[in-house]
Amino acid sequence: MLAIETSDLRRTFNRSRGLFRGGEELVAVDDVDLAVPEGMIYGLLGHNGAGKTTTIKMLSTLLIPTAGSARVAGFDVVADERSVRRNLGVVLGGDRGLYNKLTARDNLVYFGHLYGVPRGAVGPRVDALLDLVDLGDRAADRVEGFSRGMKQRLHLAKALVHDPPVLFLDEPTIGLDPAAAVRVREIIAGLAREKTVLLTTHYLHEADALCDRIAIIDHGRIIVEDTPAGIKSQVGGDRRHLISVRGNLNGWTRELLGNLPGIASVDLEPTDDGLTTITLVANESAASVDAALRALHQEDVEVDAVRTADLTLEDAFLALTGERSE
Amino acid sequence: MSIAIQQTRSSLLVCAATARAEMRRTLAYTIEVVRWPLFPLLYYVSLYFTYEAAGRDSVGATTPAAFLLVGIFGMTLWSSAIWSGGYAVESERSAGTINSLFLSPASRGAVVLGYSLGAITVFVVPTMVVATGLALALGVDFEIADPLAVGVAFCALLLAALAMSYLLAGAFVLTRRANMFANFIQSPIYLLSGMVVPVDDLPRVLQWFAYIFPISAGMDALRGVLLTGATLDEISGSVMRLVLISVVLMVAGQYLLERVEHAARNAGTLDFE
Repeated sequence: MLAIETSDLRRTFNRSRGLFRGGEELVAVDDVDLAVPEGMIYGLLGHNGAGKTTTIKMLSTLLIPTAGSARVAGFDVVADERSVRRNLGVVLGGDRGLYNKLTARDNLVYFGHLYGVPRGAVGPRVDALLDLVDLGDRAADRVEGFSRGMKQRLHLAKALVHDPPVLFLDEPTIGLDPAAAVRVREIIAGLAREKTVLLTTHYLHEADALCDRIAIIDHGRIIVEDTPAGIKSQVGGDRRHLISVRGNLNGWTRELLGNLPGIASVDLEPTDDGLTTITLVANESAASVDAALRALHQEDVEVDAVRTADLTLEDAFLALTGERSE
Repeated sequence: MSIAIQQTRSSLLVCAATARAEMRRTLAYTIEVVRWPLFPLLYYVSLYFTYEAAGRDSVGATTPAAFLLVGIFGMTLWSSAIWSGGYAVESERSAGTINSLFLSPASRGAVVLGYSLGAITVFVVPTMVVATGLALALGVDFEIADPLAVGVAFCALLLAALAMSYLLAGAFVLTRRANMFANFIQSPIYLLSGMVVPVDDLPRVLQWFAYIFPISAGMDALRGVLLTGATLDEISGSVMRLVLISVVLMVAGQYLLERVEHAARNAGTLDFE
């Protein structure tokens, strides 16, 4: 059975351009089709503004779709929104969403009541969840004194308080220090098989490590959907090549190398020691790298070193969506 | 168990849980515990000396001291209701918890009522203590003929405060300036509901406004049973008027809450993102 299913899901927004100038229609999510089986950790990746959060908001009933349909845990998100909410736990990114003046325990107890957890079951359930997220010894402390990592773990506990079969985690490790992020990832990994998890994240190594399947969304459309390994192979090459050159290179290098046959993506990163690292993802590894080295030589660029590394999901993501920054 | 009974039970549990949470939030800081006995005390003293300065030694069949004692009780109920239940959705939004609340299947109406009941529970107790102290200090005589009527009048006034806050919960969110509007209407309601001056002393046109506020009927009823020995029969007219208007306000409030949530979900403006 599918835990999450969408068909031609679409959401547009009207952005006003000022009085008397009419509006402009922005397409945030454009005919998205998803089919997520039960018990899977499913990643939804994309640049900022690609449509991830809008999709999650529609699936979690916070936003009404403009067109198309979506079902979560078998219930329609528009026609049967209450049933969707009963069967869904959501962690939205950031440290808001908790009652700061209440203790960790009071927060979970309150949300337990909001979700209709039987009165006798709330206490034991809350205690178990506080232990799960390593907050048992801080249960009686007010949330306002918690670090971001502690709040995020409490968010996870809150999403689990009514034991839903489906979880949406929208950037659950955003802004966390490495240790806190590792702990949150361990908790998410521990939920695998018991729950269906829809995960969005900007940390692609996180998606690579956790997700069974991944969809990459760009400009509101799903452009690829596969396993992490499958997505890497879809880029064409299975290796990336790091070329260290002397001096700082400009945009022309990216253009020059990007136009060579077999090169899927080019990334430039200056280093502190006056070198620039060129990262190439190449379809036809040896021939493409040779062509790149010849092109650099012709432009009098001094190559310091060349090495080859495994392709990461990040490389594949950038190759598929293009490099973009805000 | 039928679905209706299940939903009612579930809503009552949500209402009670919200009331407990609101009480805990309100009592989280010591300053709040100190502030709330001061609110009725300072209002009472200010109004008492205003009557003294105006040379009024009677208000209808009673004294200004007695009239205002019941008045500050109504003020506490109204202020608690408007700043908790009326402000509930807006305060969830400003605290950043509105998404968490609206992601849950809980009845929004039960949450709003829970906010009001929690705040009223916290603030009524210090008001009663202050009122008792003032009554003893100023020698106010209560004339209670029917204790049952006192209970009915109190419940009716509570219903009126809850109904008005319920209506405002949706209306405030529509305006997106809840704080400003709550401040704007708080004091006029003191005046128009007979809390600080008798409605009969107001200009004719304002008396009509007073008539449509259920709290004014509740104030009439509570003053009658506490100060002039009115019986249940004698306050039944005021109570019936109050209940009828309150029901209309609750239905309108429910409609507004549903419309507000639907409109926000449709426009994607639930959290101002």
